[in-house]
Amino acid sequence: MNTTPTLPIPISYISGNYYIFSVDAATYLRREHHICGVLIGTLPLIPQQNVFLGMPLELMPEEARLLVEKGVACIVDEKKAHNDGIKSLLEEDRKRYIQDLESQGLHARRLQLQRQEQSREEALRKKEEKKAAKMKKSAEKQQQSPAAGDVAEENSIVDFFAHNQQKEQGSGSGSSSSRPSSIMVDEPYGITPTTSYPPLSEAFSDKLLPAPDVRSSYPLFAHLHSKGYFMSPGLRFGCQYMAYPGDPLRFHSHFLVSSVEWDEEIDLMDIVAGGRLGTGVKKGFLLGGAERKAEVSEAEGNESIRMFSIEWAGM
Amino acid sequence: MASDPSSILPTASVAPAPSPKAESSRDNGRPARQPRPPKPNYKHIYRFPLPLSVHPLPPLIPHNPLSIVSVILSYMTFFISSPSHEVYSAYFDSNTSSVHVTDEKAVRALWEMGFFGKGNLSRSEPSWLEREKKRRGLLGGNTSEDLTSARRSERRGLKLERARTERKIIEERLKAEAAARANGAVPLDSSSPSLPPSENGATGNTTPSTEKFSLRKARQGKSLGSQHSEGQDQGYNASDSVSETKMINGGKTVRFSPVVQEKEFVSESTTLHLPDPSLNENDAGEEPSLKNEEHLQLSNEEAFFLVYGLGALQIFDDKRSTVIPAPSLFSLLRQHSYFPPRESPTALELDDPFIISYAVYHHFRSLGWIVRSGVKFGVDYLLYNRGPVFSHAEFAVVVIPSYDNPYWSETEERRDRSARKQARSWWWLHCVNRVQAQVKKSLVVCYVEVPPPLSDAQANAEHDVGALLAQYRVREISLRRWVPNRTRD
Amino acid sequence: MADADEAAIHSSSTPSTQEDTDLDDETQDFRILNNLTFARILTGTSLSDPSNASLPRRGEKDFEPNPTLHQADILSASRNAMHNALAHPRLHFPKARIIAVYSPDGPTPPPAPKNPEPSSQETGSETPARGPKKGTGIVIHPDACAYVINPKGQHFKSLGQADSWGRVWLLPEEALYLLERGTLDIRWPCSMTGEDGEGPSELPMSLQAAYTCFIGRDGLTVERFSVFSGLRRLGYVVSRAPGWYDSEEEVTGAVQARQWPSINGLFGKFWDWFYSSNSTATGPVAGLGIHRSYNDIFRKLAIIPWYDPVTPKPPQRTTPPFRVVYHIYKPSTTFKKTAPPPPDFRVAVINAQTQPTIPTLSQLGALLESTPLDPPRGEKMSRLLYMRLRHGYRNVVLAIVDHGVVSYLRMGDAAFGKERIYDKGGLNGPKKGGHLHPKGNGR
Repeated sequence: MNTTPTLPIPISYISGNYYIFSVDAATYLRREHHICGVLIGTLPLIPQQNVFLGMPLELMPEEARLLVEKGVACIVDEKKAHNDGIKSLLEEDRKRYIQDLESQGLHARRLQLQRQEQSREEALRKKEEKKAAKMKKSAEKQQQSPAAGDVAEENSIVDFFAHNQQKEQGSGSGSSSSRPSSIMVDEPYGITPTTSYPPLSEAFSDKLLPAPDVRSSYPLFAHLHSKGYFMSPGLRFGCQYMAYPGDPLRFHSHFLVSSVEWDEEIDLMDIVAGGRLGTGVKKGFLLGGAERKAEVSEAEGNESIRMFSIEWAGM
Repeated sequence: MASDPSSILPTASVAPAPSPKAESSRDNGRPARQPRPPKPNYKHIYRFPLPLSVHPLPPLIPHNPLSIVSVILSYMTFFISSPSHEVYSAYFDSNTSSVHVTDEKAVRALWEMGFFGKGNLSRSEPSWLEREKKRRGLLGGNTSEDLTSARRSERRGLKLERARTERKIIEERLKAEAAARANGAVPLDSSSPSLPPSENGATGNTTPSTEKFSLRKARQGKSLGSQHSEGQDQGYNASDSVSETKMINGGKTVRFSPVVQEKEFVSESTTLHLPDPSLNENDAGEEPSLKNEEHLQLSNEEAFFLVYGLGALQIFDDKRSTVIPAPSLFSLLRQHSYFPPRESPTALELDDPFIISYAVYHHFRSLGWIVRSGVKFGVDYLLYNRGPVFSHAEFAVVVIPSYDNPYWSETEERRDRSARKQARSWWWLHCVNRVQAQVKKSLVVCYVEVPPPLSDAQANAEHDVGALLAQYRVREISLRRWVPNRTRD
Repeated sequence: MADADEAAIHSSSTPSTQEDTDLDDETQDFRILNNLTFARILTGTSLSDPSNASLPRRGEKDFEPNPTLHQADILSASRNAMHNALAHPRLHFPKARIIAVYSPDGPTPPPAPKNPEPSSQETGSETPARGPKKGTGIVIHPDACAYVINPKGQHFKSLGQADSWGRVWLLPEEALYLLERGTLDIRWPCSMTGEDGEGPSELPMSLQAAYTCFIGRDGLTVERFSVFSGLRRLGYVVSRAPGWYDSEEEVTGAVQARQWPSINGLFGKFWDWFYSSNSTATGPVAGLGIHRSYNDIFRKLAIIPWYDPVTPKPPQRTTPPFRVVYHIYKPSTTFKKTAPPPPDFRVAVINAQTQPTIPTLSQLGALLESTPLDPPRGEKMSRLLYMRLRHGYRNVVLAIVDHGVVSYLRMGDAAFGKERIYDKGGLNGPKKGGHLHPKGNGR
């Protein structure tokens, strides 16, 4: 997990947006470059909720740009890469890849069976314990109702994979003797891979795109990022970016960030609302942007960023 | 870099004594304030919705000749001595572009009958004199301001204490870790995260030794009185109760950097106690000499509504010599809705901020709402059902001009202008909506359709305020966040 | 001081706070998953109800980084958990494996037609014409781009369209969603991989390939997909609405200059009235005479025209992105693919980057008018004034997408002008929370 993927990391450009599909790359960018992106996919583990999401990771153009400027990543025209790649895929490569997947599927199957075994034993043990505990205080409630509730809940599962297992589980839980022995261990799982590389080759040279165009808020974004802040899109919270002092997995955000142009007129009401909003959720409301200097503009990096933190003072 | 990001002080989480609160829409839902004497009879004081008097006709009962006589009589009396309208006086201060009422009777009348204006030294109702008397000990009881400042300084103390504790925990942990490293052993508590998933629930393996030193606990320890429920500084408390419930739920809590806390403490404490002017003259009960320094400040929309809509107010010019007639006042206020004010009345436009905001103000007033400024919540207006003493404002209104008429998109220049004037960003809308959600108000976006320039015939009626206003049209869009998780049923 | 609003803020109590916060607002600690899901997935259960109590509570977070190993360890444990959760493969149990084939050219008849008249049943893939074409009874959406060979399971109750060969055709968002959640194994067609024969190749489509092929296809932006999958994950049925295609005119009609004549007509009476009574020219609008009642005064004050959502109006043209692209059905609504009921919600999807400003009134007005009249109804509504106003006469949900984060706003055509609260509240006011009874509507 602490591996460094080969650099530069390909960022997939698809229909106007930027994505990371490799889990290793996502983890690496988060750990080493403080780039979090937004997970937008369904987690196959728990597909019926929106709290924990899965791959792909959508990057803001600002994030993609920053990574390209740092030389960490490059932008790949994924449509082109796939169109060309699939058609020019050699038969032997394809066959080798399919074989590869098969053996992975087999491995997964074995692993799963092992784990099932373990958890079945565990569950049985727990059940016994529970029963024992319940017997002790059997005074008020009959013990069957919670169990029935559990079953009802399990029945509503739509996920086929889980569903199937559950059936096995259901038959197996009654007595440990009825094993799912009918399942051949050599029957591999099918796998939907996350990325297309392999089988496609990672020679991107003719599919590379220029660094993304970014909004005028980019200098502010890059500045805060350079100060160690983790940035994420903030619209839902009423700002452009949320700025976190560390990984959002571990820390709350400190600032609600909104970018303004140097000469832009700021409505006082917006400051009132922003200040109230921030203070109401114990964050600072930060207005900032690149200073436009009268002198000849220097090369980038010399740009000076001004930021103002606004707090509502009650009155 | 003007601001060092690390110097931000997110507000501390302090738990106020929980005061079960009626729903905001509760009619008489003003929270009881314990240390106060029983509250005045609001229903009686604020029984008139407008500063106009009404004279209902006696009931007419057809088969009772007497009732007819009484109706006729009442007409007669009005003819003979028609009851004179009370017309209050105010003056327009062009330096501040605002309208002031200084006559005490007028101040009370405008406040009590329709909740117009605000005291320039008060939050809303002009109450400076009463507060001042209390402050000087002339009346019993503490002022809310006293309570507020006491509570604030107490909270600062608690924050500091908590910050110290937290820093101590960190230091101790660092020491322990260093010692462990020296011994080549794994520190006891740092091994917990790498433990296999524990069975006892979600947060089972988090920070076993970080027993939270929360302000709430600190406060409980001190067991301070119930006065906290009374507080006046809203924002802190808003977040307080939020954080409190979160803590109760075992949810997120925010902790504070010790360094920041101290910095903030120092800087804040300097502004804490203003020099008390009353100290110099405190020795005698000088009530007779206590003069009301406060006047009532009317917003320009309120002032114009009282003049033009109700005829209950006359507004004198700067020199306080002549009364400004309504059409001139209209132009004047439109000029003053720009900064700096436009010199000439001919420079007026159809989308003057004043005309737009007045149309909305008048609209809601004519439906019976009490309309007051929403600046505290980052919006244009708040709508109260009967008045701020009776209930919270349920609705918060933002006003946006709209340029739907084809005239406004006929040329490139007009298109640009319209686009600029009506453009609002999504983040602004979310920001304002979130603020309203924090205070349990519903956001209403009120669009005002700006008419095309008047035709010649209409232009003749340039001084016809009503004709002009009738060209505008309002449309309200109520807005709220939709959370799909909660509408599944 | 007599401002109740000052106090309002103190007491923002739990319910309202919860109403406005959502677990998915902030990054949650994936370690919670360790405890929950691995145990559950292995015992064959899953989080079937996202709102039930078994969903993780918010984890505890720190205010800012400190140099302790302790903190570093927790963070790295969280990252590990996240990594593991993300890396969990999409596995297909051999017996329950559902296989589909990508059909880049849209709906096509099967390679070896057993049916004598295949071509009349399917729409040609190259047909530029939008909208379903009628064949011999079965209609396949021309945007469908993958077909399921062995459809089974309850997803297909609300997804896909069956053709007469027993294949179920999926729209790009449906195919991508099913693949993403690990339900569907989509294969490249042999025609693309260069394999012999037709139909499914051995080669599975990766998640990456699926995004590449399906996003951007026939109007499916990633914003629209995020809304689709986000709502599907919660159990909603989401189907395309007629406003899906930018080019398609939902309604045609006199667009320009539609409103103004009617307004003038509408308010002609106002004009007459203004000239007949001078009271509005210079004021006071309330009049100088004796007032008999406050209601009279308020009636006279009503001089500002307001929009009445109930009055019939010529339909207007909606402008993208402000048009309804999805019809949404609650999980509790019985949904039949063949005869969809009226939707519970109508959603317009907006990319906050390409449309950074909120809609103008004409954009929003046209959008609202494209939805049916939905006036406040029911006992509760008739009792509660505020609820009526919040509900409005028409409504629509805007899904504003900011780089993968979706924010939903419900817009209601409130029509405050229909509630003359002076007429009802009066001085004594109703006791029940200021909620007043409505009287006659209209003007």
